[in-house]
Amino acid sequence: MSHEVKRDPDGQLPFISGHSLSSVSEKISDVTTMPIKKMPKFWYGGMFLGLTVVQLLFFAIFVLVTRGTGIWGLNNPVGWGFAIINFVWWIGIGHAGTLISAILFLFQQDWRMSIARFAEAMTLFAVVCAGLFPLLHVGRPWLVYWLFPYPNTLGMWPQFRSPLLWDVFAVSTYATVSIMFWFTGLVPDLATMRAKTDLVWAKKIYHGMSLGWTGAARHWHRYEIAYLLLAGLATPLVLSVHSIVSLDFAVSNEPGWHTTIFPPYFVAGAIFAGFAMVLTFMIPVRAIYGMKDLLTERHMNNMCKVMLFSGLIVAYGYAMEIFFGWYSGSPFERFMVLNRADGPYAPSYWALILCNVMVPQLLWSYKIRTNPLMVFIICQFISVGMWLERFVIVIISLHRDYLDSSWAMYAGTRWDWAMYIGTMGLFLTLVFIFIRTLPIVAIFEMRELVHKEEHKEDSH
Amino acid sequence: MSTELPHLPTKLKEMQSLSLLIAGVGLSIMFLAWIFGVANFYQGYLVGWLLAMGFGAGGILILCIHHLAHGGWGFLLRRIAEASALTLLPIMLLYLPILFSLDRVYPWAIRDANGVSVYANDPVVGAKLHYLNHGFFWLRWIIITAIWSGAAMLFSKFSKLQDETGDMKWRRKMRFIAGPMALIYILTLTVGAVDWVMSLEPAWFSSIFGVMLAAGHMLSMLTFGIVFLTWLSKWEPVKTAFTAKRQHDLGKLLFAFVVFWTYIELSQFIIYWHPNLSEEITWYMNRQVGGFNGLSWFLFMAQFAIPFLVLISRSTKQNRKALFYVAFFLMGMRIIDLYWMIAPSINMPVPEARALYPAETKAMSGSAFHLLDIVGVVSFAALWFGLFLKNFRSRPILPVNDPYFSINAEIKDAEA
Amino acid sequence: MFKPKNIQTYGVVAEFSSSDTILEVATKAHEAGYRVMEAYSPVPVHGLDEALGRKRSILPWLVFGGGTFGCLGGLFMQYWMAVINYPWNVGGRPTFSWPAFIPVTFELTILCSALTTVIGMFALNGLPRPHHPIFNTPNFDRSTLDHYFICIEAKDPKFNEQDVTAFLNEFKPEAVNTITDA
Repeated sequence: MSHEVKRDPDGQLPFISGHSLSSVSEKISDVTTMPIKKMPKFWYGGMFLGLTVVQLLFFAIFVLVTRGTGIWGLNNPVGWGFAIINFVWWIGIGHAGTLISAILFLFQQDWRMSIARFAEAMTLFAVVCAGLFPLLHVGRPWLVYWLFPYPNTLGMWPQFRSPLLWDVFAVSTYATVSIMFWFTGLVPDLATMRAKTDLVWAKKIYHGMSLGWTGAARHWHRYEIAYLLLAGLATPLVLSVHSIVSLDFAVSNEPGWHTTIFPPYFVAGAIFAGFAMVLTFMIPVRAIYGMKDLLTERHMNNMCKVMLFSGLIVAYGYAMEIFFGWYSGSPFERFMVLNRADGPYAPSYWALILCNVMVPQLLWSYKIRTNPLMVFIICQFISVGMWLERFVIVIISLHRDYLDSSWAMYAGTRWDWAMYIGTMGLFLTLVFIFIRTLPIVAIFEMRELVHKEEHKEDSH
Repeated sequence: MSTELPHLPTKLKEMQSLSLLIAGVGLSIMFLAWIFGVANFYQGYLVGWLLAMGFGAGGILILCIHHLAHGGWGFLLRRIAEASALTLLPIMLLYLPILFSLDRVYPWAIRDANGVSVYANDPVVGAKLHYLNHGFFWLRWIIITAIWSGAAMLFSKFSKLQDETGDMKWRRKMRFIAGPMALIYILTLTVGAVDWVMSLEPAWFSSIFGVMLAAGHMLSMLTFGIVFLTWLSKWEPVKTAFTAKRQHDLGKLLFAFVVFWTYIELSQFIIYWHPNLSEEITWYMNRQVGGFNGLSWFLFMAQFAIPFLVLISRSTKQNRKALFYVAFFLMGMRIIDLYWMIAPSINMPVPEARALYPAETKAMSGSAFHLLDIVGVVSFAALWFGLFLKNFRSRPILPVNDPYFSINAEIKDAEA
Repeated sequence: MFKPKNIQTYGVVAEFSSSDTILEVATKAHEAGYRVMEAYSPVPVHGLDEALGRKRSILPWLVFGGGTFGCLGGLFMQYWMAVINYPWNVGGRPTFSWPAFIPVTFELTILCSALTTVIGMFALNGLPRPHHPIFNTPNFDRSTLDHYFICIEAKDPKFNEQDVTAFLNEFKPEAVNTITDA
């Protein structure tokens, strides 16, 4: 563009510069429309890895279905093991997308635009991975519809006082709304893809999926209202989902589970983990697909700030667990605090503190926040840390019951690990299919951003 | 029209004098009640003090969020929040009457003839006497007072230098301290919340309590900000600066925090209602009998249901008068919320809950509602408002030298 | 075999390269008395719909209705199942355990509102509609990239092909075309 790029008073560049409406559309759709031979090795490598690892999942499910949940490491008193840990881990990761697309939208944070689509897709895939665990944990997944209220010959209804049933409603609502939100955002882009692709069959598919979007002013008007409403609905929804997940634990009377800070602290942990996962994929993608002008260091900086902030809330949660565990005056609560720090699973607790509390403090530094390699490494620590957090909550609380006659140790079996690692393969596969078939950055929103920038420059 | 308006600085000065006069009279009555040992003094005084403290600490919270999130709406609130935060030192000092008679308010502070806490042999409260004791309680109050008033002065100082010099360095300093300060704020507030409110029922605990008070602080400052800005918008420069968009943003923020408050309250309620454990449920039992039951429902309706339905409509948030009334109403609800938090804990209307406490604590309460409650609230509200105006008058009403803020440019609001 | 339809003119379409021009054209066209028209743009242009003389959508009210239905319906469903149809003592809690019914009620409120939003938006927009005469416009692909189109439709009472073409040509469009509906 001919005019000079306008910087803000801190000398920062705008979130997008040097692009026009058509060049930005071109650039993003190229990732999807590029001929199969030109695709980067990164994509082939990622897809290959994903497809390989996902076989592990299929095999683990096959064995589970034929032999039953006895192949897992569950025992008495640890009746909730890897399945719940992995469920909460994945569903937490699945919060970043909706957070970025809904909450940041309401706060009019323009930097969300270039990361929203990718994060939303990851949300969906993470919810798919998460949903597998409770589905398989019921033992007979083909009877999972029993969870829903439907008229049946027993004349019975689900137990609405159970937090596990709240979870059924929360997660299925979340999945439905996330898909609708994602799809609604995609519709104008599918119309762009229709224009950009040369393949006749692909044109037809994109056209069909875009529902015949024309970009009529009246349609845009309703579309914008609908998007705002969806954002307004998705915001409380995303906060409620992890809050309800936390209630699975918190409404019991188990020390280490039953504490009132759980809902906000789980939500913060979800944001923390979700942003770490988005950055884990965003950093290689922006480098390999040459998208550094759309996914700038400024974006990374902002995401790291959100991560630091949510990480501090999580740390506050840990502090509250310790303080109120002691302050309660209850010997069981106090024992739980000591048992975490000094019990048989103490290493996992201290590793958690290292990953989630200490390492993220590096993000206070601007230099580290804008260094892709450092951010990538920190994100890996956070992902591990958030898994450990759920391990600490689930296992350490359960393995020491009120009576010492019901004390036992717990360890995941090879099938537990196979399931867990297998879902990572599923996630990878879905992400790479997405990169190949749909625009990974919301094209029309980027056009809007360019449009806004142009008009801002004109007014000066 | 504008020629008929009174001169703003004069008007502010008059209001300040009037507020301080009311506060002087009210606080004199309160002190007399304290000296003569009226049992009801404590409840009214504590509710009033928490109200004023909430406005002051809410100022710090708003400043932290403003400097971190950097939205256009924050610039309008900056001066108001700074002036409010500066009231914290005198207000914190007014906790002294309670500190000098802790054993009249807090059961754990009661000592027998040998100077040993009456809870020394209690299996639950006895276990926390290392924390809940006179010396440590005093120390925590001193530290919190020092940190909060220090933070308020720092924010004001940097902001003043920014105004005078226009140097970006001061802006960056404000942003730099905002992050750690937010963290320190919530940690100190949690400690304070446990000390000043939660330990009224020394056996009871809830780990979300600090956040709950913070939600109240945010609502205090936000509602006051909207009310005060609406009033100021009769005059320049707020008339120009308080644009429709900025007002809409403040309205949305108010809506968000009404929902957040409900979220926090409901979380605690569901988590304690569901397992129904005897050491935790007392908090809700005391709020489910007699007048307090009605008050609980009133709080739910008036602090959540009605404002929610009114604020959900965009026409309310964009209508200045409507938003003003909602904000004013919610500002009044702060008093109800605090009274609901304090009074049932002091009065213990449920015999089963009362029975958990040593015999000595039974003499502590007077009646659930007393004239002194009103005197306490009014005099603290007036005192805070007077002190606030004194600070507010001494500086320009809006930031004057911030490159991100201009009085009439909407465009700059969008900057992130 | 299907009968060849009577092919009719759908309207006159002009193509522009700037959002400011399209806003101006829309405003002027409305002033000139044209009513049945539509503008097509790659980005939502603020004020374009208003310039074409249309009011704010009723969608928010539909969504409010959907949400109210989800909230009351969800609460009633739980009440009927747990209190009326099959009362059941769970840990001594009251049959109408309203605090425990809050989460499901909340989720159903959001679900119904969101479904109303999305379905309502597409339904009001008349989508999905794979065949639309506007797609007959040459170069219309660029409406999803960087060009702005305005179509004054034949249904407009004031429509006259020559007049409309002349009117649109005043704004120096990239192209003006008459399109048919088949």
